[in-house]
Amino acid sequence: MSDEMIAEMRAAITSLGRGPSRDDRSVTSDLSIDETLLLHGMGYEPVDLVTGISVVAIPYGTFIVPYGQGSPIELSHAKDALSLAFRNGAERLRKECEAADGVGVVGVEVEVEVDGRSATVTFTGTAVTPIGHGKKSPGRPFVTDLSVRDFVLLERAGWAPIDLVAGSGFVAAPVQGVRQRISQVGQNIELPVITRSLQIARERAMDQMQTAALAMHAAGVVDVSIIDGPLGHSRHVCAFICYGTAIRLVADRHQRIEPELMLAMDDRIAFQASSVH
Amino acid sequence: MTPSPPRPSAWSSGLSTNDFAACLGAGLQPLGFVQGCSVVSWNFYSAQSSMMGMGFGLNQMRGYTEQYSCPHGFVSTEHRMYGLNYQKTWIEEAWTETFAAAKRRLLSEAAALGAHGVIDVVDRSIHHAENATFEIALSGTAVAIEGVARPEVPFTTFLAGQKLNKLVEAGFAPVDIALGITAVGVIASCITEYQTRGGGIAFGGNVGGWGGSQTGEIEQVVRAQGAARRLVRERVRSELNGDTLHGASLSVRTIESSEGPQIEALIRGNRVRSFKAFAALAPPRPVVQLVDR
Repeated sequence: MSDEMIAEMRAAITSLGRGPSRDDRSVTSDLSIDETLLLHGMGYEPVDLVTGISVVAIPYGTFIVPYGQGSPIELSHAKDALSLAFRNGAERLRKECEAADGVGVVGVEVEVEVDGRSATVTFTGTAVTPIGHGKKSPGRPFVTDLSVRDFVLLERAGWAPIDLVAGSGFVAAPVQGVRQRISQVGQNIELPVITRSLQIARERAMDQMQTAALAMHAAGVVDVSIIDGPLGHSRHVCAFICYGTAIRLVADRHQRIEPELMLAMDDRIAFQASSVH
Repeated sequence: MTPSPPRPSAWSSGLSTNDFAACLGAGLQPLGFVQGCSVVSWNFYSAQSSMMGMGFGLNQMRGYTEQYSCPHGFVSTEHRMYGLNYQKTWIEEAWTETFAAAKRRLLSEAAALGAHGVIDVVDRSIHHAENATFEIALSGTAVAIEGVARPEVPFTTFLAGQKLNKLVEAGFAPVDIALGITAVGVIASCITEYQTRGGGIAFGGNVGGWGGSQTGEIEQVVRAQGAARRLVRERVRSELNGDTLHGASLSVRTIESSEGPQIEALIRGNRVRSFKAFAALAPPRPVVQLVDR
């Protein structure tokens, strides 16, 4: 039993009788205590939980493919809708960050949903500011989906996040004719048109993401997340959506991080009280 | 509801062995597993039904409302002449009262055990009997610490074990569990209806279209979604009084009803209070853990 810890706990519980300090601005954050401590160690503190959302209509018929089409069809309306939703949602998140006097948003959780009629993109994260920072944030706030741990490592290595960048590709694979289906019965063969559709969707999405990163003079994109596969409501449509954090070097050169090797000596826990609930 | 008197037997707790060990290490003695619940009749009613059934109209609505007028004039009897986003304060009040009753019972059981607080709180919300009844249940482990006067109201927290200890070491005292809900109803205007259900037609994306493409933001839905998220954060923030909401999670769901979508936003987290200056940690050392797999 640590006497110091017990004393801290006693002091904490005793302080509850004094009531809150109403002069302080209430802070909300979705960070864990580890993340808060880590952030504080790097000279930042959380200021507010911020969100941004955009819902964009996709025209009726976008996912309907005419019968007899021989080659993959790129669905530009779906791609445009998702791009607009991503852009507007991120902009709203940034505005909320500015309103909270934050210099950036970390640990952004991105949710993407594409149904038959609309594309929805939702962002939730915590706005942060340097400790003791004035009211006004300098410049455009950065937005990153990196966890606090990754954000801290990135900063220590001399890099800084700029913004979230995204790309998407929606390609409809042509409906196979009866003759083609019959010719494939009993054979395990590659389906070149579907393969090609997936390839096109991926290329378009990655191109779009990289173009967006280049436009903001980023050196690269890290922690790229990918959502791919057939759309739930239109199984013939191959979707590929990617997003990540565009970064740039702010130090003179990359700062090498030399991690120490650690060998945990604790055994696996074979029993937990929760198992007898 | 009268809390059960403390029994002179072994205590019970919902803590894992790790959390239990950490809890003792910080001087917190488990006293017992405590619970509180409240079940209410859950009747879904909308703005239109409340206008007719309860005798209040749009002017009597409280909270957030936004009206959307039809730009087309009279088209047909089926054409929507207006749209409305409105805060369903009656749902929020019912939920808040149910939660408060469950928490009162939890705290009452804890106080009967002589607890300073309740840690490792778990909250559940359950719809019974085809959504006709709704229950909020809270459970946790009542704890006490020697040498400290009992607070007027025991503290509550979702945290336990090392997470709670780290919070205290960082200079924050657990105050309360914070939960808040907001519900926003959407009665779609003709434009919104057009964007979400009908509208421009484009076959195969680039095979030409009838009526043109309509890739634009659905403003009414965006504003309703944004309002639900903003209102729920404002609700919780208004109860903090200078404290901090830590480890918050925001979940949003959309329920389809005959009238239109209802957007429910729920936020939960730990209300904590700074009791000493935040001591900055030394920059952490990066390590690579050697593990078998």
